[in-house]
Amino acid sequence: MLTPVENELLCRVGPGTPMGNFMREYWFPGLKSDELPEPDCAPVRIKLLGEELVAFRDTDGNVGLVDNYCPHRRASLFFGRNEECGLRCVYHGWKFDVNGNCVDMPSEPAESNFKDKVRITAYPCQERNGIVWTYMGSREVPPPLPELEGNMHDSYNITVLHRPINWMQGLEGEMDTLHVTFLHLGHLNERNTEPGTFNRFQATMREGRFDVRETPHGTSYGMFRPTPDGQNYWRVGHILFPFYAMVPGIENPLGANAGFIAYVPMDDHHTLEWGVRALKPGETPNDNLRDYLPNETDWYGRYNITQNFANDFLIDREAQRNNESFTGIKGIRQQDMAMTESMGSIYDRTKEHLGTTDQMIIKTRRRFIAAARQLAEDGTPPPGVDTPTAYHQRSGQIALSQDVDWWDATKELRETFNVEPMVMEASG
Amino acid sequence: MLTQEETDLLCRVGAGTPMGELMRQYWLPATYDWELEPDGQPQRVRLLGEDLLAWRDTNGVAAFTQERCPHRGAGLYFGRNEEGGLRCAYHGWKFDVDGNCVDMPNEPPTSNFKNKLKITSYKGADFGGVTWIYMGPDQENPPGVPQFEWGLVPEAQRRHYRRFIYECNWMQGLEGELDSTHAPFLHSRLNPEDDPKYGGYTVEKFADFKIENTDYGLVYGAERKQADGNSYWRTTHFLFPFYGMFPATPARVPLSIYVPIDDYYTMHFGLEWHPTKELKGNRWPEGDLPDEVGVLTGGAGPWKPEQKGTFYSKWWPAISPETDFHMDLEAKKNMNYTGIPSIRQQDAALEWSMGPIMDRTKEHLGTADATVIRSRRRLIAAARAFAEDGTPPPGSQNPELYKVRSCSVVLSGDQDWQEALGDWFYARTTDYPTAAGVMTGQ
Repeated sequence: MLTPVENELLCRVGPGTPMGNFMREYWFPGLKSDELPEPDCAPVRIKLLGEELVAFRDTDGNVGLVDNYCPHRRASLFFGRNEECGLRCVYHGWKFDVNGNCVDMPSEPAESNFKDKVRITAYPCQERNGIVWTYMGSREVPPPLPELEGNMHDSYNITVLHRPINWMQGLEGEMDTLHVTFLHLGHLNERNTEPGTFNRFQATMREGRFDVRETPHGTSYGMFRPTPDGQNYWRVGHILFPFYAMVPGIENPLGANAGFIAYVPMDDHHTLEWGVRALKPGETPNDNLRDYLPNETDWYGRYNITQNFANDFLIDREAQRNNESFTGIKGIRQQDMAMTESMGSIYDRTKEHLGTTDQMIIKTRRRFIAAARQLAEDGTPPPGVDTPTAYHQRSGQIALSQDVDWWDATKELRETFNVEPMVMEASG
Repeated sequence: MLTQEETDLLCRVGAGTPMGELMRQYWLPATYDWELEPDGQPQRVRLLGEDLLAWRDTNGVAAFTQERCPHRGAGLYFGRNEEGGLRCAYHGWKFDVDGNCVDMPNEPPTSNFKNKLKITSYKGADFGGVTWIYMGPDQENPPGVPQFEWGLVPEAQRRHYRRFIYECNWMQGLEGELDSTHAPFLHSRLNPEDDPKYGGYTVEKFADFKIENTDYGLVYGAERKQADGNSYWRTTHFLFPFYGMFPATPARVPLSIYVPIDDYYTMHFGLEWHPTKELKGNRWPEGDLPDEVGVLTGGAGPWKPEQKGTFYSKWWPAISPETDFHMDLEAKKNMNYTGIPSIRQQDAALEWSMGPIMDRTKEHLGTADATVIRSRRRLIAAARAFAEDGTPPPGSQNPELYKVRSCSVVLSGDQDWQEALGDWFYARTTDYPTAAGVMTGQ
């Protein structure tokens, strides 16, 4: 349970808020590279941390991420002309480059130097394997990009999904690994699972115990259940500052996948959830797990799917009754969406009742709140900002002997880091 | 005119407000009984500003429980209603109709966390085709469900024929019900020679009012003197806390109910019954729009497609603010007073147009508004008395008081209306009053 003040501090990310300032110290995914498919293409409306921005790709192929509002009379640059290395406002012709310089002001007399005094807010951008990373922070010289391996191979899979909830609500769902047993796998039992599989463990032992660690990247958990042959079945996952998760998944062995999930706040009530991972040899990109609607140009018009709160996520109560699935809702992520959206867009943590299986949530929140407060109080650099290697982690499931320390025993698999390009046949 | 403080006291019904606490002393109609099937889909409802789920367990017991799971706040709407309880789909916590946590399978078996946890739950009861809720503090010993005659007669003698959400405060709906002088205007057709399918028509638009306080609220008679020396009486009752009964005819007795969803939305039920005769027509609300311009639909028209994700998702009317209540300018010019194709939606349009909570500091009430004034005074006085010393509000502890009927009848000029009509009013007879030897119908 949090106090109202803590809940506000944890969730709100607009300019000037403690958590908003904290996030701005990190590079994070701003948009997909293919949203700006070619030089001088149409600009895109982008909302990040409560700020309304416009992204464009200039004639040289560089990406600009600038304030939506022209500094002259505050008309939107979304309607602007992207031409000759700059975005020109269609109202009075003022033009800005990707660095925010005003490079033309044809409405003023030629002798005026007003142009040289006007700048537009522009955030640095770097592209890496399909993601346009941006830095909205205070440093003159931005820190390095985090070494998140899922985005460091040139063969990759990226999916983005709009979640109309606060970012922390989505991220907490990733800390809460026990819900998998119910929400996603509650229909499993001894009859419909194979002995010795991870799913059999999920089906036969519903409760779980946790061990939570504070780490240089954030927090990590191991959740375990004893197996019939005297081992422990472990589910290992991580939360990495400021909003990344690596989760054990449904049938993933520990260390087999390089990938991460990011909950990038658009504002306090809307989040883009990124799923990024390196492809395995021979694997092709796949984003057809969900039925996406075409992207629209409005602020919340990108990456929406047909199943949503306004149609009950197309819940099939008959399938729920027949135990075809626990919820009757199709799709793992859609099941998560139903739960997290049904809490309200910022969930009231003064009314919750957390138990022993929620200690990952409890400790991670504490860590986030403490780190944001430290930055606000004395400027302590947020964890991980200057140590990109802290992000060398993997998640998954594993059966271990009951007499080993799970954290030490899994070190090698967790810290697998292989940046050599993977062998690939199909193109990313 | 009311002060702002009185207006707030009268209209606001959230937990802790004087009127909200008054309302919580009564059983409230919440849904139709058939909307909740054993082990069926839970329904989102909001009552007195509280978001709840209505559902029925395996044994058929109606339950009203808090909308969100107390664990991590997920909506129990998506849960599994099975084996005597509602189970959250997130981590499997399960609650029974009394709000007890009966299973917590994600915690170790040694944990007693489950026994320490209870969710908000309110008693439900089925009566007269309606599932009622009691949101009062003493859930162990609620009073009886109001013994309306329509709940006691055989099913074939009642019709629940109208139901929809008003997009305004409940009191605006109730005041409209009690304000009987609007009918000759708002609900009229333009040309008396035209077919009544376009609306009603009353020649004598002025009436003389007699208002009396009763144990359950108010009764008033509107007397229109006729040329032959007799008087045409139309009687209306207000029953605490939100029932309005406009005049009955020999064919049926009507009742209108305005249940506060919250301060800004109201669930309206309209029904009718007969003490002895079976009623023809649909047993439950149906909604159609007439094919012909200017003709009124019998009910409130059709509903919007199910508004999933919101409370009472099936009961949002299509004739609504977004469509100007289907106001047709040709109908308004040639056929009826408003051009709105439903009597009840004519009321809804006007009541909505006053704003979510009408600003009663700016109104100008005349003598024709005496019943509105009196019913407000009684509600405000009852809410204050309950808040001050716990005086039970009228009718709340006495379900038998709700056996009340209204009527419309011609009496001879010298008869006392209450004496002549008393046996009918209080269900001591099933014979429709014919005191002057003349029956009148509509």
